[in-house]
Amino acid sequence: MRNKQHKQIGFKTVVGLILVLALVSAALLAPVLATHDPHLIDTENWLQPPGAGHFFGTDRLGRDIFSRVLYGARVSLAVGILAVVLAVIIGTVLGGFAGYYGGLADMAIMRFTDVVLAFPSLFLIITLVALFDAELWLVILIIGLTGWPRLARLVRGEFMRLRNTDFLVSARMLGSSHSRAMYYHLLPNALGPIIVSATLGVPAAILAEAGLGYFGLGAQPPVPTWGNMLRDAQLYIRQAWWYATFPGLCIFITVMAFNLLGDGLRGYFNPRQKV
Amino acid sequence: MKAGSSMQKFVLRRLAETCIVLLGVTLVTFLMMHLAPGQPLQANPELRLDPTAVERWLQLRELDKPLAAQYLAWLSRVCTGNLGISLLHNRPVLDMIRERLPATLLLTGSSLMLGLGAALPLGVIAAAKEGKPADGIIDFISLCFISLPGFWLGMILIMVFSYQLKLLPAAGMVTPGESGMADLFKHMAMPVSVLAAGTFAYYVRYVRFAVLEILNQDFVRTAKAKGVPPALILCRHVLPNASIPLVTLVALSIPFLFTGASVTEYVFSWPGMGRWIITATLSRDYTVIMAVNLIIAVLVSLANLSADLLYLVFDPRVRLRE
Amino acid sequence: MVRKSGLLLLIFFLLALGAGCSKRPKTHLPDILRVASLSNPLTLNPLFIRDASTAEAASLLHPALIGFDRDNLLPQPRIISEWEVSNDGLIYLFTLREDVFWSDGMPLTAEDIAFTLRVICHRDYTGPLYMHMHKISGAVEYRERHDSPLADGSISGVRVIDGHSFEISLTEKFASFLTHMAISPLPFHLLGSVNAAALESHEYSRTVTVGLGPYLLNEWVQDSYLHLTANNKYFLGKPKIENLYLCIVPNQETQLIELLAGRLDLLPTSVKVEDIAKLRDDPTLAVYSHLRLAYDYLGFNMKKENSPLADKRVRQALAMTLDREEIVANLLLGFGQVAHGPLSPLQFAYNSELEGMPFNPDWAQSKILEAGFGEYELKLIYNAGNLVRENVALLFKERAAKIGVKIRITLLEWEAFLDALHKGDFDIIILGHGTGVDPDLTYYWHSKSPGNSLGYSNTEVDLLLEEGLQTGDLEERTQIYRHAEQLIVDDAPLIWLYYREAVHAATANLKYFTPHPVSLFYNVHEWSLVQ
Repeated sequence: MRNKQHKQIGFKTVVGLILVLALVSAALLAPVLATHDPHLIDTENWLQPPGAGHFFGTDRLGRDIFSRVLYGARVSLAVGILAVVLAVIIGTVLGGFAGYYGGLADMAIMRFTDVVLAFPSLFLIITLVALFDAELWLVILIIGLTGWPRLARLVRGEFMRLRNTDFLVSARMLGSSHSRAMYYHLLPNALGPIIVSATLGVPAAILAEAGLGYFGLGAQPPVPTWGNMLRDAQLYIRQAWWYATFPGLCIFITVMAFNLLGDGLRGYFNPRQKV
Repeated sequence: MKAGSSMQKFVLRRLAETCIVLLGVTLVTFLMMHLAPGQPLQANPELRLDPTAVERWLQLRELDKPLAAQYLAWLSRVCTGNLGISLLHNRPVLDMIRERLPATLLLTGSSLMLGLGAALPLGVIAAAKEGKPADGIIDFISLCFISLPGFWLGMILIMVFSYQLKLLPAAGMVTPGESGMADLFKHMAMPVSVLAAGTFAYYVRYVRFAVLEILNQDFVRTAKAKGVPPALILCRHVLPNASIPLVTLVALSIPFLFTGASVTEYVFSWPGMGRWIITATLSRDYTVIMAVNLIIAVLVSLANLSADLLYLVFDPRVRLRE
Repeated sequence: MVRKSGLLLLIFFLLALGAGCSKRPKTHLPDILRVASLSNPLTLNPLFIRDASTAEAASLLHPALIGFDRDNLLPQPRIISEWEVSNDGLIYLFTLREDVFWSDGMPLTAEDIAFTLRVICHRDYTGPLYMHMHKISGAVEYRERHDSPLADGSISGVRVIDGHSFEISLTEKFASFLTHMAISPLPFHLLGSVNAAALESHEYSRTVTVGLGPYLLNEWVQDSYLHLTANNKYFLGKPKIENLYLCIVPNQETQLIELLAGRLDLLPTSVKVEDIAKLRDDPTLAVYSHLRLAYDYLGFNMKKENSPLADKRVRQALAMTLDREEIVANLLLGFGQVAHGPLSPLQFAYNSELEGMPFNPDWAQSKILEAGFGEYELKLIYNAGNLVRENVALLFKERAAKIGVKIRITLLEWEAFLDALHKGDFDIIILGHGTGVDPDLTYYWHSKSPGNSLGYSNTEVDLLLEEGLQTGDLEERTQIYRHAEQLIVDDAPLIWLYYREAVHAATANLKYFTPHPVSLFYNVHEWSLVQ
């Protein structure tokens, strides 16, 4: 009786949304905001500490870290968001089919999901990217392909739950085709959990991309990514604290932003729903 | 409907499905390995090695046979318990796992205990004080920990504790030549902290949610209204009921014990499974990768199975449904 | 009373804490040396060594038969105490020292050497050493016709005369043969009955139960460390440092942090040039450096069809866009030397007056225009894990852009990199060549050599290289190789970059550490630690 059924937009959602929008804008405006060309090599000014000329200092080749961090935001956000979009599309389609039709389709799809889930995700991602010498689009594909199972399970659960509700049964009786039923009746109701899961999937994708960069895989130099900047930085943590600190901080803030947003949205859509 | 036999049926069916999954996993791994560029042994051009020796090497290990034959041979070996010989190290994979597993378990086990040990009380507090500042602080901390990239945190810790303060060692599990718990603890301190931060953040949310669910049940609210002291409510009602989903969660984390520390091991040069698997993957040590993937898949399946069994046993509502 | 003692306790505690946090804790007894290693050795069997890290570890347990002079890298007696070469250069008579014993007391005999050579020439041997031995007469026949899985029987060109002398006959003159005899023998009395195919995975490769070297393997905790103890039967004298630990720390920065904290004593080869200045300032540490026997280069794939790199002007132009002095000064911070050709400054035939390509971007630009380069994008591949090469790739891309050449750089991890190299899937590659101790350039530059991965072919050079192996006279060989070098350089098949210096850092307490270009642990038995 005490269920707070009214949806309220919480503090987290607002803060998260503001941060996410700020980050996305910064990434989009990178060419404008950057103080230097991120690829400009100046071998004499290597590993300079943060100062007037370089807000975040320079790296081993004298490149400006602030500018590289800005451009790195583009890669991280692009990979994070696009990989999740891919995962959502695949997961929703497969999970929806499984949940709606049940039976053999359900079993086949669920076993397929199990196979993908049986691989620890980071390991799978690293393996695939290392083995196939990945370009950026392939990285997005691989991260997306490891992320869809969870979403598929979620959508399947929702569709199964909603499958037997009255209004759907009547819609079918009135002649609605299967795809119409799925698309117009079931999907909108499942949208909430999908959005939450997607928002919370972005941090995982961003961290995966950073992890890849850290191992020297993924986006090719000279493209700056936060992950590969940390990889270079780890060899200089003693003499150039700024090199490791700023990219890492950016990853942290970005991931935090999406987590806040996702958490807030979860509270908005399902005040008492399972975590 | 006899509960016993349908339980049996359930388990049998799950085992059959697990076999399919395992087959799928190994097949996918095998294909990935062999379709990808690179070979386990390639002559390093800088060291003036003999490129023609590679052919004989491949022959002796039957790596020149057609793919289907290789996979089937591997499958039949595995069914007899033979996990194969590492291509790079020329030793049985099982031996290599036995050498490295304890190190990983030490890390992941400790971090699990630490994380859970902190998550339980704090989760309960957060639930009890829902909406109040304490809840918000715990939530914020857990959010921070989840958002921190593990390898970054590791780097920062090394910079502070190993370089600046010279208090803790930056690499390895033991100091060669020294023995004793103090030395081991010093080596474990940072990596376990990094891992425990993650496990803590993960579990505290579940604990909070599970406890909240119970606290909102009618019988608990009645007890509160009747003036039963909170401590008693905790012991009698909350903990027993919350332990079931929690145990399930821990069961699902069993695979984590074996692979969860990869990045941490890498950053701290910890001699465990994670670092070894990464190296094996990059060096195309096919037998190792196949064996390890199989083991992980088995663990994940076992974990899922045990979690489902626990649910079946304790939650009658879920029984026998898909 | 209580308060006073409490205060005293607190002060004592703080003092103890302060003492604990002092600079480099002096913890070592004089008989422990902790040496860092970047990776776990793959094997300790001297016949199956395929990477540098494994080679270093193995060199502590297995000494080579032949040594090399520090300054000119000419062969010197070590376990082989003397040799005589017949006039026609086809027969080598070797004599072994009589005071070399395996750690189980058995003497090293010529039979051990013969056995080792049979293993190398066996059909089932998959290690890297056969390539150098195939000119021994009877070796090819042994490899093709010897049926038994054991390395038994005999090679017709290897004749054991008595316990300490043996004779090797070659099928043709091979001036650098002696340098290839710097192998380490396997104990025949222990391994003689093991199938050749099973030798690599034999437990000897992990336990080295019987050895000849300065140290013996006491314990190997996989991925963690190796514990070695001094061998009192070592023929050059028992090492002064009783215990040596090879600590596996796969990260250069972490190694340095551990050195500064006193948990490691010696960092071989893996010191970053950026750290040297700070290390030199520290009175508790010492820094050593010497040129490596290898150079890095930017190679052109001349096997590709319709490649603009087939035009020599394009290759020369690219060579002129790079200021290699800048690379040595800023990327290597002076710890290296510009390389102009394939001979190493440490080799006896080195030509210090060789003129390579000058740094001249304007001239480069005009050559490019002349050759009509067009819109082709060159693919440059390089491997992950070598920071200097990664930086060179980035630098080169930028400089080439300035003369209008577009380059796409691709970072590949090692296995994928080698794969691309073998498939010829690249236009430009950054790699290194090990120069070896002998100036013989056949391996990389003879058109028929399997090691010639760039597809370089010049018949005049081929003839010179063959000639260079026909005579044992150093003067003659010097002239031949210098001539060959000039021809190769004129063809501009690659851009020679630099010889890096290997930089080592150690505690100042380590005395008599004199790294040798061939092996770091060359005189490890003389090292000692003082307080």
